[in-house]
Amino acid sequence: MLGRPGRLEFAALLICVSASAFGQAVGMLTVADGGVVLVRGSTTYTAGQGVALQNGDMLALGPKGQVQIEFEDGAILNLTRGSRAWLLGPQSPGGEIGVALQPGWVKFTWTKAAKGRPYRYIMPLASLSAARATGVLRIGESSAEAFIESGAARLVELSRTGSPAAGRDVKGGEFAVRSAAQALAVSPRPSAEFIKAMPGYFRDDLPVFISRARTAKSEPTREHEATYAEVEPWLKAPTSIRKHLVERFRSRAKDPQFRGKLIENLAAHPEWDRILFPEKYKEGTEKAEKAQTR
Amino acid sequence: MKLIIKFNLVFLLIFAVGLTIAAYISRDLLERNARDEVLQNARIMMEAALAARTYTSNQVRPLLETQMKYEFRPQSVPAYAATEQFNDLRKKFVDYSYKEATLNPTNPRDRVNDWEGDIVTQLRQNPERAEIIGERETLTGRALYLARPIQIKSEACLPCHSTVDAAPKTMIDLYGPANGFGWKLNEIVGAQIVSVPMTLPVKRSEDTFKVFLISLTAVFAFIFVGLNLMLYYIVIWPVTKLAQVADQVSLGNLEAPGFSVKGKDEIAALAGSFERMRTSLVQAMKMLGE
Repeated sequence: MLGRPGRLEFAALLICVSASAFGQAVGMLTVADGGVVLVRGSTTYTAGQGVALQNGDMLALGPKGQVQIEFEDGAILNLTRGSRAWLLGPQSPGGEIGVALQPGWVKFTWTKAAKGRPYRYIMPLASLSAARATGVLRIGESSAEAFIESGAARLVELSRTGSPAAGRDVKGGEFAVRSAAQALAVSPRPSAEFIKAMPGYFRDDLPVFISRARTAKSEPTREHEATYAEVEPWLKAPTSIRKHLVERFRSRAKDPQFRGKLIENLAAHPEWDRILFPEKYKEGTEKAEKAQTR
Repeated sequence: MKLIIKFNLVFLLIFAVGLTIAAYISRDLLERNARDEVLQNARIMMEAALAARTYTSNQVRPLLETQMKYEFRPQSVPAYAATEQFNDLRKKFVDYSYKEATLNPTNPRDRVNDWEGDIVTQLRQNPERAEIIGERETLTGRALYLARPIQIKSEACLPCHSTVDAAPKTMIDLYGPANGFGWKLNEIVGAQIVSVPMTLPVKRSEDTFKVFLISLTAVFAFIFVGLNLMLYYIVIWPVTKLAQVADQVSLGNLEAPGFSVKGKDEIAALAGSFERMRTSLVQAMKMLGE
């Protein structure tokens, strides 16, 4: 157990890791079809092929859009059918690289030159940890399905709040399902319905475009300050994921529209109450301080 | 027997013998050529099938490997590719066929029928035999077949055909666990059989044979008429005339009209000699009379 000073040092280390990770290019947008919205910091950009991505970036695409992210370490992530991704970066120094995902279809793979760093794909009700594995994810509002094409992965059930529960190893060829109504279950074959519904191009290996994209490097186009609607799925994500969003979007709470929406949906993200209504907490703090003085 | 009859009898005899020998040799040659042509077609088709197999194995299968993890793609199977390519070809050449006839196939359409089973059995019993060539009657006429053994020479074939557990699950989904398993390395499991119709090449050879015989007979007939005319005008007619003059002279008609033949050939020389002989005879008779 770490004592108070120890915990402070660990927190400082985490902040340093995060700070060094943020702002540094970790990958590149090598496919950007159908309009890609990028939220970096608290600003919204439109992004196209060749845009360098940083930890903390949030990507959203239209229902017919397609995005491919090729990471510097050789991992590849392809999103389609309205899916969203939030690049969380390393979860601990040298640990898994987190990517939070929202409903849609996702295929992950790696190039032969990949360093084999483990990735953790965090979905609403499950998280999947994999290194040098290829698989397809179908993420729903209250379900997550994973088919591991090759390699191996570990799937961990998550509660509504994002707390990890039981986990299971899934090997190549196996299919795992987790839904609100069903605990994690693994079967030897994907369901016919899953295969039928899957985007056709997911049946093939994902092509690698990074060298082409590097030659056509581009910058994202600044559009406006992020609106509530653009970050709503993340603001309402499980607590374990969204915990740092208050700091990130604190400045946006001054925007009347953003603030209005925050208040309207406060039940989904109660941590904003302290930002929106600081006076409530000020009284409590003053009382506590007076009590201490006595 | 007249000279012309003797000549014609000999000529016809030679013609008959010549025609028979020519017919025998040419018919045999044409039939052999027709069969060789059919066999060559069969070999080309067999090689085309092998090329389709190799292409599928080397280039198509790797591209479909990922897809096969979701759904089995028969297009990745060399035998399927070769058969499908031929099925397309058969839309234009209906009497041609190609089959990878197998005793225990994964795809039921490749299962051997009775005569194919006999071929596979022969190949299994004689593993050193590279191919079997034969002919058989079909509904559309005689056909030549060329069969080569399908031998499991690579261990790469075994994952799909050794045991159900080792086979890709997607393949079991499509074809079930009952067929196409238990194959062993180096075992002959079937035969590639190309069947090519012989009707057309045989008919073509028969037509050629007929044309050849008719042409040969026509040439003989032309020569026959020509030789007869030449024989008559060059030999028979002058000799007959000479004989008539000789008859009259021999009967005492020394004033019989002479017979002269232009030219310097043997008949002209004979006519000249005869005329000199008659002139000598007439003078001798006159001297006797005086």
